[in-house]
Amino acid sequence: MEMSTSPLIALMVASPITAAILLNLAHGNGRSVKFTAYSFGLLSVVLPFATEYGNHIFSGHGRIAGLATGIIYIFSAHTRILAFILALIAYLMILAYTNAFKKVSGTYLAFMMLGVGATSATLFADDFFNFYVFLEIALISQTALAIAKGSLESIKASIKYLLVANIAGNCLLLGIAMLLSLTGSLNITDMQEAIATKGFAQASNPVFLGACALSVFAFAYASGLFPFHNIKSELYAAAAEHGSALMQTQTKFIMVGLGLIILRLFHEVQVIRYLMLYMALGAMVFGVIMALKQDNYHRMLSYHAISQAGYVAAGLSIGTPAAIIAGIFHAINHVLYKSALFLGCECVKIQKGTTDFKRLGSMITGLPMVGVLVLGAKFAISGIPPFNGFQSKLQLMVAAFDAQLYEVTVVMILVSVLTFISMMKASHLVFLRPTTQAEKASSTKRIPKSYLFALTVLVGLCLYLGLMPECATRYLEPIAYEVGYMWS
Amino acid sequence: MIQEASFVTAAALFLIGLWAVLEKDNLLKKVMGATFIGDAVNLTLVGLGYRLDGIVPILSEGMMVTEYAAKAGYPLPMALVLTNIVIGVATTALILALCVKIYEKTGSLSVGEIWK
Repeated sequence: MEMSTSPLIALMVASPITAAILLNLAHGNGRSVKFTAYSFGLLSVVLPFATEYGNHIFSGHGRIAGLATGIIYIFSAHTRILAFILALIAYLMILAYTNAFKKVSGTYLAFMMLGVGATSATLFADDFFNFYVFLEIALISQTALAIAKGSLESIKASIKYLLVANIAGNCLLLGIAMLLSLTGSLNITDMQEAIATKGFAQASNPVFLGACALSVFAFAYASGLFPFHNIKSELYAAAAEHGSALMQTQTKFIMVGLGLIILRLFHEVQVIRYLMLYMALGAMVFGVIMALKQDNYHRMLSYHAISQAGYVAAGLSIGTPAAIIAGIFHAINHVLYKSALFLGCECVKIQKGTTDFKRLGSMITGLPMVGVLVLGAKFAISGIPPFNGFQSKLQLMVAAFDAQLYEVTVVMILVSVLTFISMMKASHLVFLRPTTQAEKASSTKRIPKSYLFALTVLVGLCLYLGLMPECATRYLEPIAYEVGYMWS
Repeated sequence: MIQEASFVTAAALFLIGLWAVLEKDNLLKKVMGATFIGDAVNLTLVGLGYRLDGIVPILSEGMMVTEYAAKAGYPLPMALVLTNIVIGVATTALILALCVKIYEKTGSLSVGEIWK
């Protein structure tokens, strides 16, 4: 393995974590908190493009007898684009939060940055145990964003999420321990080589299959797939809207990270790929059906986040290079338009004080710019050209069709149609439905310019990637061809 | 034999923990169940690193590397256990803090009452 290294690879994880520590220390001093958050947030955005591809090994010994003796981080094309998008969305959410509230919490921003650092680490780590540690940190930081709201609902959702996260996390660790006992290593590349050499999959080794099942269980939970879709969507709905945007971004990218590890280690276990595909389809269908039933805008978007996660998981489960490219591309697209939708929802809440459909309507007169931008994001999530959602959904459907999974293609089309119906219903109820003059007059609060800026950037990127998808997909091709396998 | 016994104990701990999380009505008992599951995984890891009549995995002065390799326990699982204990403590502390909050707000720790 090439050992060209840059300290900047480690800095991409270390700088958000350092920011989290500093933000905690600066809590209570508004100016210091803002300065720290802005400067480290901006650094996180710049670093992925300032860093060369390569590996970073956290040990002085390197490889002994061909085996890694320390934790290795791999920085490659797909991790560059994912780390950049994650940092960009975090920065936009920091801007939104710090301009929307008079009193800024350093602790709250610390958890936002901690989540960014932990998620980045899950993308870079070539060490399964290191992945597990940062997955746990990311789950705790996500929960903290929900807890910060302080309502009974957010506490209830957080307890439920943490209890099951505890089980899922320990199951993943048990799976890692099983793999360690079989392969003698925690390094994913070394594990992959040992599994291929020793033929555990062909021999249907029970320990190997157990590790595989436990890893897939953790994958389903961390991603919020069926049957865990309710727990995850409740957590999204329990947080403030900008927090939900960041949480769902972290979830999608952790899902990509763990999905790629599962593909690398367990691709020969066909039944697991079917299981992952069924869980993905379950998330898509149940997510969109639950979204259609909601009478709260924020809750509806939370269920859509789960439904769209199903598309990403479907791409990874199909496992062909084209499907993997489409799946990760959809993850990128989804975090962009869903963040825009959550921010649009927060604008509505700022002005009306609620996200309950029954108490909303005629918002287009008070928020014309937000309405137009959010409509663009709604077209993107519904898969309407020229937005990015159209490109990735089309690629996913073609990949499923090429893999002769025709029923999967049909489900994807149907879920897309239902998503469109749900989004148009929300547009009508929030922005277009006529209301009385008294209700219209209640909308007085101004929307901070940072929200309009963030919305413009996000929807602009949706349009840009819709018109030029190769700007993102070219970063995804190397990993897709490295881990992709033909469906059989 | 000791290794097998630790795996069997770990399996029992895991199942008891899972039962408590799924079946018990009291939130604190659910939290205890979750910690049992963590302990079961830690015990499995300790069992993995165990070597019958083994020595502490520290290369002492004058010891041959081959002798060390033949006798020393496997140190990697021990390091994992330490890290997992730290993670477990953090998660459990957070859940318990939330239990206190929920008790303050609802006056109950019964799942049936809180989620009714």
